[in-house]
Amino acid sequence: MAFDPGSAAEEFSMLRSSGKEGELHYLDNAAMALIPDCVVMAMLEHDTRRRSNVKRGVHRLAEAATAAFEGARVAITGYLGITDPDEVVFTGGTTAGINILAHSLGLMFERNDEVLISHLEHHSNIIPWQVIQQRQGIRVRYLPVTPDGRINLERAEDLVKSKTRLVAVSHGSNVTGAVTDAKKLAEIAHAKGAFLMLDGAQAAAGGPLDIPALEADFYVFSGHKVYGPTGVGVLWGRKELLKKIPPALGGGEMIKDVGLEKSTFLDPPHRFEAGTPPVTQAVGMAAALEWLSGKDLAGIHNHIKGLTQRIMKGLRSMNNGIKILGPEEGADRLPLVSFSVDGMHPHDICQVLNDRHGVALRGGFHCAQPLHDFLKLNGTTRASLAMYNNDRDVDAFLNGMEDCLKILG
Amino acid sequence: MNENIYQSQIIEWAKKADHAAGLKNAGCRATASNPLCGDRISVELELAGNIIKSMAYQVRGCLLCKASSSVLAELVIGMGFDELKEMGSALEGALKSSGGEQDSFPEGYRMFFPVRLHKSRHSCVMLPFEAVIQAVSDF
Repeated sequence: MAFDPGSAAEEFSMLRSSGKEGELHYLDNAAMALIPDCVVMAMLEHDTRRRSNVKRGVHRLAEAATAAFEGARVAITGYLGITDPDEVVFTGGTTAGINILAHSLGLMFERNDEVLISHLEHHSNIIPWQVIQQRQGIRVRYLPVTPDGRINLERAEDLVKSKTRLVAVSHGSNVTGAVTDAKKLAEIAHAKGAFLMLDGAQAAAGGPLDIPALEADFYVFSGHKVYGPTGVGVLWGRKELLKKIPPALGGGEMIKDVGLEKSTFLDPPHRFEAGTPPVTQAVGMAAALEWLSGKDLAGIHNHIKGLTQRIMKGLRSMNNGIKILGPEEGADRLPLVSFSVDGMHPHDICQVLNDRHGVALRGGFHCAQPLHDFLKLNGTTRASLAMYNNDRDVDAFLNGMEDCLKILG
Repeated sequence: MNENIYQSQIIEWAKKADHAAGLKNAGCRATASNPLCGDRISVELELAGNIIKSMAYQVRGCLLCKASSSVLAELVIGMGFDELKEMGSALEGALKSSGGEQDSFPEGYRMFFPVRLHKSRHSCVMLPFEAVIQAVSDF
């Protein structure tokens, strides 16, 4: 069915009931997307009919819960464009996924090996590698950023070296919206024997991923940014690589045999899922991705792109003191717009937009302080869009910004 | 009661922060930062024993942080260390008390009354206190 922007919000209780708390124009989707009722219902059904721990019990509920959990893993392969569910590791989210990789793959790195990231990474793709740097004596190096907010792939040829073991970068920036040419970077990394990990926290919400076409070795993303629940995410890895990597966490559900001196571990993906996994959340995440896959994604993409362009054009028409980060309108960019306003702090802008116009924005560093330092900006304000946003949301935002410039200017 | 945070008083006090300068005879100094929003304030204090004679400051932050810095720079003159800490505690308590009265805010800080309803902004108002208390604690 063709996407209807007018009825998209009807699937979200939070948008239907927002009148009680005042008007809501939710433009903070890059931090967390709202959750459709069908996903909430899928989790409610699981918890009220099949709630039990997985892979341990022999009773009816345990078997039903295990089937639902493993069924979720299979369902997610469809969204990723892969066929082997053993390549899907459930995590607590993108941050947890990168940390798992850092503390498993990273333990295989030797002193002076290098991990190449970039200046525009989210802190969750900086700190884990800095921790491994301190523990293992590796070096973390950085790809610079172009003036239009992209990772400078021209420098990758020089910076990926024989000692580079991993290139780990954002698939799409949560600040500039720039989308990374993954295939080009994969070619450069693989030519030097390095692996490529993509942080898909932002890019994954755009619709089903064609993981094989990206030619990456690892891909991480979160449930809460793809219209799913919090507390769950996926670490995808090539099976032949996952088999060679030691576990990051130890505990139940990931062991084959436990002795007092030594233990052996299950094959992937369970090797990386120590302890009780986020069962209900995995069921919810699969429900969200199946729901999303059933949509007219081209229609949604065009709708959101049009709104993003309206925001960019509207901001440009207001004031010379407004600087928009990232690629130009119409370029391959995510549906988010980060900007700075001369003499105005992002939190003041967000407060005025919230208090007077019911617009929910995000202000600050967006967990990307090195990028803001690099750009010499004391934070930015970000508007980010999802399928349920509409022209009224954009109108409220642009009117709110006009108001803000009068009040704070 | 007007619950709008950005009243003209706040904006006027914030503008004063743009003209803040350093002290020649600073006896102690400190910097405090808020990693969530990037606010940063550096303070310098001129002291006579345990009494603060003057305060200079540089703020990179939001209007609330700037206004709070400017108010504090005036109120703190002639204040002892203990009195300073008491005022900081009183302000923090007033901000946390969402049902409180405007009179519960220290004199000079009553314009920040609407901020009590926005917990995420309390740290903007308190950051200058953090810096000044750190400065005198290190002295």
